[in-house]
Amino acid sequence: MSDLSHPPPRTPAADATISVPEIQAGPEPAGRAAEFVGRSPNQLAWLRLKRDRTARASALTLLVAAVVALGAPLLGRLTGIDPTDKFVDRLNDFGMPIGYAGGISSDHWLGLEPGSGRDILMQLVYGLRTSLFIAFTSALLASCIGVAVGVLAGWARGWLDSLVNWLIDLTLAFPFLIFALAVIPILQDRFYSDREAPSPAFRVALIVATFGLFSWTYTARLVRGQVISLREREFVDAARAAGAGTAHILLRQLLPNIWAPILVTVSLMVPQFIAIEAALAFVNIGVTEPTPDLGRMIFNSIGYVASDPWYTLFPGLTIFLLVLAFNLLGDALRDSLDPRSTR
Amino acid sequence: MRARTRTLTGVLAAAALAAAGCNPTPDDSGGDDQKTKTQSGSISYEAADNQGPAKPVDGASRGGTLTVMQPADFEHLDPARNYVNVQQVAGGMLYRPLNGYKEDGTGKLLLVGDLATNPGKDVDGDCKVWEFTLRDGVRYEDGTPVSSKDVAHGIARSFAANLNEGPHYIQQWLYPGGAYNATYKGPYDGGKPVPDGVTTPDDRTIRFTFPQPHCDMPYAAALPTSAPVPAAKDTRANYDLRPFSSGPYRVKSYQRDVSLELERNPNWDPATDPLRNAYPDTVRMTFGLEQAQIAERLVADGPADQAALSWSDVPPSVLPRTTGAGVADRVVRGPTQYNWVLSINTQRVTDLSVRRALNYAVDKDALLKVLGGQAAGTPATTLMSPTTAGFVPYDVFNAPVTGDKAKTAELLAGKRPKLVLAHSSLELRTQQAEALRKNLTDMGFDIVMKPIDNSSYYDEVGRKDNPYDLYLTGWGSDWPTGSTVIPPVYDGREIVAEGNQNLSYLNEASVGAEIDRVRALPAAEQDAGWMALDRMIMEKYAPVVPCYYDATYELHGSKVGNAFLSDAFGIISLNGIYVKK
Repeated sequence: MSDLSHPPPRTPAADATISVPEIQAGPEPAGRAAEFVGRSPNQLAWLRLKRDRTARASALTLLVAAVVALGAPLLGRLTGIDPTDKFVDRLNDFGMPIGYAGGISSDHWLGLEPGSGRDILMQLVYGLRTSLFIAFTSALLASCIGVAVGVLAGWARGWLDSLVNWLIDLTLAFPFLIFALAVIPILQDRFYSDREAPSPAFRVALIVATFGLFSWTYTARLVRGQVISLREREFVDAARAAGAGTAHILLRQLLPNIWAPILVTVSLMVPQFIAIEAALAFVNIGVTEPTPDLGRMIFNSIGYVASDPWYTLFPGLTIFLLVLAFNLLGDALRDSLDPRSTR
Repeated sequence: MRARTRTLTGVLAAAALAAAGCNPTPDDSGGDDQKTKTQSGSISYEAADNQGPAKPVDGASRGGTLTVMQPADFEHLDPARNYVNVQQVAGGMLYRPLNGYKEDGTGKLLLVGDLATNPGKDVDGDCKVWEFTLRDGVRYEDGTPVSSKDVAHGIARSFAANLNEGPHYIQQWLYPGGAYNATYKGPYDGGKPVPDGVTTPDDRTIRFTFPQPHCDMPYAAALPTSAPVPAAKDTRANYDLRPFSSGPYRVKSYQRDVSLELERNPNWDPATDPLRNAYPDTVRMTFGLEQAQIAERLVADGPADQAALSWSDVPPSVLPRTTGAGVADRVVRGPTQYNWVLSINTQRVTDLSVRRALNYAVDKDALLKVLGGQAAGTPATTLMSPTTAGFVPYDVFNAPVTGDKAKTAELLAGKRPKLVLAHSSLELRTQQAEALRKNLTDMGFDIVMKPIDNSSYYDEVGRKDNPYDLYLTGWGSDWPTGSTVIPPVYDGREIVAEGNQNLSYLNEASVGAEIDRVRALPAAEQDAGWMALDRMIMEKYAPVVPCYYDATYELHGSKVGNAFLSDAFGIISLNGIYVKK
């Protein structure tokens, strides 16, 4: 009975025996008789997660990043600087920021971009906003499609499974960049005339849709495999014997058992999307000027690593922290959802 | 000359995260102030200038291998198809046109005879018949003497439809009216061996007879089209890969997109050549390196790169590292013949006050700083570049370099014109366009940015019915007089459906009439005439916003001697260069 912790609780007693260590470790007042508390696997996972220091730190990092990104306009009002403002007079004759550490001053806390003279802090926080939004939305979209397709394939068997598998193979074989290069400009021309610039929202929506359309395959394969291995388990048979419908078995019996890998893939997809989105900006189909974008900023700054390392440092550090936090949080999530993985 | 496409790509710099942040960056970047040279281009018939051998360079030594590192291979080396400055300098090592530019690095530029004994004789004094006499003793790489019939064959083959990439001045002058090769289509497939108007009375004489006067013929004869191509060695389209040498070097090996190696032509006689010292034994050109990589290697000056140079500009991200001791003295910089202007599509922006307002609004400083500030150029106010003969600086608008908001608002009179700004999608060009968008938006315009793929940028804006209002374009003269700037770029009669060079599509009868008048002037008065016309166009029509005079900023290794900027080509000259022992 290795999977006792996984099926949803049928008998509170069975669950409670597992929860005993949790109770002892919790802040229960000593002296009172140990009380049996019924906790669902999700509650258990949450407890484990809360106790994980790495998870707390990475979650805090991501929270700060999210708050900064959301509060970017507020910061803009506070400093009175717009992300597209150019302080060209603060650049020297070569276009490099004047002063110490890439032009860091009381007005420009992280200095100025060489060449354009834009405030790095404002570019960074607004860019964070764009990049995080695109990466998050795309990861969610890709996961939703992936889970739906994966569950369908794993559960269906027969020709539907073959068809879905074939579709996954086809999507995997399809060159993503070439597709994006071909489709994004065509769609833009379809909706905007020669003399109109596509709105940033349209651009972002296109990118999210393209990512979603191509990145669901990994999740789908994963989920399909999990569903195939789980659908023959005793608890599923039991549910079926008890007269549960397909929807109930899929949503209430199977899905809760495969959350862990799905969450981990989401947390890994987000940093990956940030990087790809930067690459798209370079071939002119990503987020384009003047919309600030973290990926593009990093790409532009790499050339300055020797001549103005501060310009490279701040966006680089930001993306490093973000990716690290996402990965650590993903790890911690997996550990707490599936404690066996740490053993 | 067709606008040079700088390879403006920011690329990963291999250098470590150096301690560059420990000292404050000063306001002046440490480089010496740019000399604004005004070209004293002139044609010399003096025997001393026209006689070989070339004056020896002090301290120069023969021998060694010179390396030229380039981001991309030459498009063409065939003299009939050679129209880009780097190709012209490389081609000049292999073949000798009738005329050439004699330079010594002091800014003195003399047009003298190269293959010819002098820069051409105006037989009747009306610039219609030009006669060139070839030097005695000039031999090809196989030892056969160069004949004027080979020069005629070279001219003839440049009419062929599949060899059409080169300049077409002489061709157009021989057959005026209509396309240059509408009547004569080259010597191949049953065509006449030489075009009408070209005669070779003997093996050392070639004579051009034009229906109209062309006093610029000595300059046109300095373009590679007039280099000799023996009919027996003519491999047509394949000639690009293996030009038959009449110069100091010959092709040893050529692997497209990888490298081109030149070795000495044993039959070249220095006594016949007033231009070239040809000191190195071999010249190696390597292709396919990234611009930033080249610059970093030349800054580092490793043993393998000490005898190397590059004709590609140092990218802005490497510029601050070129000011230190040991590097600063290896920088070759200076103005080129290119001028970058913001072309205003006058078919769309018909309101003169809007065009004038744009001239007050543009922040030229911001445009330049994106590219590396003073290393990339100096703010411009005229149509022709300061390297043009007879250049007189003027400024119709007298706006500050960062723009004049009050004047702009006054001219716009409350309107807020919506303008579409097209730009190349290269990283630095995009940043430039964004700088312009922000600047013009602040000045009271509504700007829409439209990126165009770099490889089709000039094709797109060169279409007469293009949907854009503003685009940054560069143009450089083919020889240092106004006759290759004003007529091709501002004559409305030359506007065609596609492939235009008049990118503001200015079509004014008064400009056309003035062009005809200046062309008919005696050669000595033309320079002043072009300059006056330059000013008249800006005063009356303001079809462009002059943005910046292009400058070049190149590096060479520590063992390269006598590396100076050629004023004729805007890149390091190879004629007198040597490898230090």
